[in-house]
Amino acid sequence: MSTIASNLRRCVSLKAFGGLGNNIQTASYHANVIDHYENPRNVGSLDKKDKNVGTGLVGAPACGDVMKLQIKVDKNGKIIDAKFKTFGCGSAIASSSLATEWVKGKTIDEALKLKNTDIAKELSLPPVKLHCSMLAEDAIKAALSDYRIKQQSTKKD
Amino acid sequence: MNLRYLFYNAIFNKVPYHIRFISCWSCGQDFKLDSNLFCSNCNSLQKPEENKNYFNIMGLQESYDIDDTELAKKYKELQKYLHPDKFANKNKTEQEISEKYSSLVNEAYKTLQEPLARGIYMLKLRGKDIPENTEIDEEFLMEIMEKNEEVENAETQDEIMKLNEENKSVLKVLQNQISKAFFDGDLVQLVKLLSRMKYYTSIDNQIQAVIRNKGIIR
Repeated sequence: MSTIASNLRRCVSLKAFGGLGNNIQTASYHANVIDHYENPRNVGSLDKKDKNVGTGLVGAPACGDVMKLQIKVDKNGKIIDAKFKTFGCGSAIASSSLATEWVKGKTIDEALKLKNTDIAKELSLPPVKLHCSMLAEDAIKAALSDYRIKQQSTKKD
Repeated sequence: MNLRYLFYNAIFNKVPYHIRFISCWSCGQDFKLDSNLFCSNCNSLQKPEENKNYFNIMGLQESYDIDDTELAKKYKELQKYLHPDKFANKNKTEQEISEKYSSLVNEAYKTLQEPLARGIYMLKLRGKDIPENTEIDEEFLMEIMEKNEEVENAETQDEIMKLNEENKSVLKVLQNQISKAFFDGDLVQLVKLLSRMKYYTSIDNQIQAVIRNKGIIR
């Protein structure tokens, strides 16, 4: 709870820069962000050592956010589970939460097509927060590539 | 007279601000601005010089290793003269100058006071910033992830205070490394160190929030 309070503060202050000619600076996050932020989906971890699990760990140096996203893939190349853990602002948390929801049930190739702009659109992120959705896209890509590398090395064995 | 004044300044460095020769916006008189604030003729507050960096505004030498006490002293001293409350009975132009100048000084103080903000600001003065896609190694991110988790899971006062101490000392080490990198003018190293500091500062914010929420009194 404490982290939520401080994160919210952090974002409120960032939001102030996003106000487009609006004199009243309010925390006007889109309902979708608040929803994912207050009830994040799929928070947690999967077994990193499992060969069917791909782990993506990415960070945003400009804001000090760190995001871990994991996927579990079945024999048919379908993503059956996804988990995330993000330490960062509300938009970063919401972006990764949404990303895990979206990749579940998709094939690896479908998941690769997921674009940060789709996430940003769904969450109505302001321009200053676009990099948060970018981080989520990077995390998915990193997780998928980690999975591929793991699979290739097991094939060799 | 002026020469003697300059000479005196050079030797004794008594007046903290540089000397400017300008024309007052209010009375038009040419004058020597020795306190950098008021017209010597009509005593109107002058606009802050344009294109001056925060160090100049605060009357400090540009360096990453600034003296916190000195900075706070300068800040209070400036606000003693600049605060809009002092201009309640003055004309509109002067009130506006006071508002702008005073908030500029606030901004400068806030930026220079924090080791991270100061570093990023000084990097910006050198024409560089921390790019969004700076490469960070996985090992480092792992460490940050774990530290964040430790903070999140800390339950007792002892646990959180221990984490606080550890994190503060990491920040201290980084601050020294950044100071050295500024001295060497190593911009590549600075980008790396400052982005690391960003992560640890963000952990520090989490820790301070936990301390506040637990009502721990230090």
